[in-house]
Amino acid sequence: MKTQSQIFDFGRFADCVSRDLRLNGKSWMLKALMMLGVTTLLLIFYTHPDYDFVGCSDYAKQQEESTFLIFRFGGAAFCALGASMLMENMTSKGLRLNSLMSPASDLEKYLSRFLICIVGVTVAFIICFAIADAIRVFYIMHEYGDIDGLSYVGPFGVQVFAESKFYLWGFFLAVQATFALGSTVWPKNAFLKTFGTIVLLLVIFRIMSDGVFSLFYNPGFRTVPDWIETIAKTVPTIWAIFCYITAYYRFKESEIINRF
Amino acid sequence: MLKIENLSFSYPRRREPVVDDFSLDIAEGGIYGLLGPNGAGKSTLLYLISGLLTPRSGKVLFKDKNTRLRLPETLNDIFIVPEELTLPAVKLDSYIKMNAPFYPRFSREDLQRHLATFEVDDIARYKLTSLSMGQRKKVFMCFALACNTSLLLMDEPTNGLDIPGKAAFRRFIASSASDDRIIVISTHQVRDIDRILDHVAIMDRHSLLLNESISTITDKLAFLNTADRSLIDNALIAQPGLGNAQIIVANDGSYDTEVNLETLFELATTRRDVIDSLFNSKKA
Repeated sequence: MKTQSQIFDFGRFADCVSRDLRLNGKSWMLKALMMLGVTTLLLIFYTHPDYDFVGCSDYAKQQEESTFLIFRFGGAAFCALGASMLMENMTSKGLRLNSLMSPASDLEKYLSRFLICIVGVTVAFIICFAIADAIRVFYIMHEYGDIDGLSYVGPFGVQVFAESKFYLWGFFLAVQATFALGSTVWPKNAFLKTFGTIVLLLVIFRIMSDGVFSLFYNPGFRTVPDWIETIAKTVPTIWAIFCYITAYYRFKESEIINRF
Repeated sequence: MLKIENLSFSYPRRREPVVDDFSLDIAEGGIYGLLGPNGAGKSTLLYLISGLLTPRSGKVLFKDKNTRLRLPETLNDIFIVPEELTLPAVKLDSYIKMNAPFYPRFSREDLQRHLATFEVDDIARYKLTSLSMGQRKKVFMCFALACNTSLLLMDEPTNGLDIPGKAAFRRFIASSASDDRIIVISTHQVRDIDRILDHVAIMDRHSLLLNESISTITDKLAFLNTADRSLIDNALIAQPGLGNAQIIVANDGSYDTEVNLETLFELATTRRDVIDSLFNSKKA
């Protein structure tokens, strides 16, 4: 008889993914439809020729800024919602028992959820954004005719507007990973609880840093040295890796009751 | 096959341990009854055995592997039937397709046979969540047995079952027993499992009072239902009934009786001295 690895076996991993998809397939489809609907509405609203929320003089600029804004913040919000569902199968005693007693390794179970909630949701958002932008172009063309500067931007076109792709994807990674870690701490209502905690920490951080700055530095001092910028670029990725590893170990140490 | 070594466990914010320095060695297959009052730690012990809780000290070895590591090769040989089930909103066939691939010895024929024993072989067209609690429990137990794992842990399995269901449960467990399978049934409804056990373990507040095979118990104790005043007066314990009393007397070899778990439980929890002198003296 063939001996299977006790850490990772592709057959078992495929069984885990298949089981997760069978269990929640319909719910994920509905969530994807909701994502498409909301992204389409936001794109049409923000790039509508009658309004100019981003304060640009020409339509091409308005389109550029608005699509970038929605891609960045909409994407972060949807991906954060997806990441918050990483531990959705651990929200009750019965679900925890089903998940923990399932004969697969902890790594296989975790990666199966990761594939669906992190990779799957990100890919779904990119597809939804592509479709939503096409609908936007079609709608505005239909309603206003050929406006100067109207064009299809899509998920790949929008990256051109980002000052740094590294910043853009680092931002996504960090937001997703933080919410993934939050879901291992609070499996129930993970999104709201993590969001609340982040807001609270940011407010405290802002008050403290402003206080420290005003105490020790000239109030006019605002120049950011180069080395801080380099660190700022790498911090989101390092933070994301830290969050995902911590989330894995929290899942690995999970028990039938949430003791920690 | 299953070895519990000096297991201790306590829940947070509770001073007393639920399980304290608990040891048990089950060398061969059979049906084991784990009895005890509410709060004695029966369910906790089952969770510790299956690796769902981390002990404060000690360990549980199943086929020489620590169950807390939750290795796939251990998990595919253990099945736990909890008291309260959470089943997905899918039909039985989908449930089998989702879960059976994880259990190498799963048998669809066995499942059909067990479903027929419980008279729930006509539920295929319904979603599992639309079944009654008793039906869900029957279906889940059928699936659990059809996985043919070497260790089957059942927590209050007869809760929610109707009267024919309880009789079917006894038949179904008795027919599934084998030398290479350990079935541990934790319950306080002792009458439901009266005649199917090979071995009895009685727990009381984090410790083991009695841990003996049924044959050893009946060799040493006789369980009688009598109105004989002299027998009642000399009994180790007597539970009065209508007319007759249910009693336990020391067996000098002249009785061949069946165990009455309810009376045995009463004896173990109220007369520890008797249990210790009869069963635990040579172990101490």
